[in-house]
Amino acid sequence: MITEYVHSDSVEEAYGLLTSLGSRARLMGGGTDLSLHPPTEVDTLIDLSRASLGGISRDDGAITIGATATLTEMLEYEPLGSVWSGVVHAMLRRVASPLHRNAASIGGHLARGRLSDVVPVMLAIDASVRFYDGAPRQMPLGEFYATRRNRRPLVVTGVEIPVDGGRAAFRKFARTTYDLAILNVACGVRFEDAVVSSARIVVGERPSLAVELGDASEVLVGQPFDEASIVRAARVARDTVDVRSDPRGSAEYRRHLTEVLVRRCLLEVTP
Amino acid sequence: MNLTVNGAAFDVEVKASESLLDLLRRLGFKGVKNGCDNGDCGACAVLIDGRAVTSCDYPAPAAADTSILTVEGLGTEGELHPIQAAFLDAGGVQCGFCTPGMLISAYELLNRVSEPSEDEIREALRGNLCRCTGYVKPVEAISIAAARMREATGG
Repeated sequence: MITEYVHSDSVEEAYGLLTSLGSRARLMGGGTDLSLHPPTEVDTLIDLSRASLGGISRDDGAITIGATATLTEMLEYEPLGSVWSGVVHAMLRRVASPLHRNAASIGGHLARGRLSDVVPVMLAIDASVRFYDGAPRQMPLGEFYATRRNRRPLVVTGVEIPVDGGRAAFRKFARTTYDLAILNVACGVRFEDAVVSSARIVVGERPSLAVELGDASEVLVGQPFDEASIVRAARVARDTVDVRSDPRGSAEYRRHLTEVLVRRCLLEVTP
Repeated sequence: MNLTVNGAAFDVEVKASESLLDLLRRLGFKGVKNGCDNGDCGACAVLIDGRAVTSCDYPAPAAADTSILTVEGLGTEGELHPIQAAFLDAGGVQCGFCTPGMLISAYELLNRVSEPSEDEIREALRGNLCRCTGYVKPVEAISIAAARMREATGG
């Protein structure tokens, strides 16, 4: 039961509250998820909307999005629509509805990780997360989750997307266009001449946190990007993905979806 | 905390766990409908500082010092807003429960886009569930409202 609601004026103050209250407190971005489903042990919400974490900017190397920027603000920021084949905007248009995108924040998505179409795309396009845990830090988003750093007390302050990216695509499968995905897939591929120089195939809503399928990605690297290697990578994805059953879909169904969505996603990436 | 609703200032006590939906209804704005209380149906949509959001999953304390527009603030006494009038003229209202949320979503859309395509209208209504109309009449209504509003402003 939420009994305290605090507006924090700075990242440092929010972090201080978080460390002193421990598991009783949660940081809040847009609140679309947290206000409806606060964990039972939580009695304090720390609202970050006044902590000066908003805004989106671009420099030579990256687009930087502040943690409290909403999904709508990301959609309205045109430079985000032109990097990585416009995958960020294409994905955001398929997230919930404008009513939610006007409130939901990028920081909330990254901090929660699960139940998100945003996270797999960010993983596929080499995004880095910025956070504060007594000092400002930055690390690749994949490492942030893989090392379980996201489970430690910290304030997500933003995300950085490299603009010198390759091509990318996103696919999701849901019962209705408006529902949470049964499975989603994002792919980011860089090319040198006609050969793949790097690839990330990411699967989310397995239903666990999105992960990169390293073995499937490796199938593509150093090869020409043709249908044969795409089909091979999709099969490896199917055979290596770690999936579970939940009310949204069975493990078997998710394994099947993985192959289909990875193949379609990669075909869309083809230059 | 302080907030403005439809141009009127309020100074209210709110509970930490209260939703903006519950607060607004408590203040008498019963046009804000509680359809699902789960962020799904859009019947509770209001504008907060010009952005349409679902108020059931918006904490009331987060609305401190904001300006809110509910369906009651769209028209004036005795005169409907062009979007409301168009919904009546086009038959966009059946049971009416989703209508306040649809009007709010349409209002935000027409603030941004004066001549929306059908796709843009449908995208704007994506978060407003309606079980009666099948959306055809509401979409027509918004298109009619947009045309009338352009005419009225000479655009």
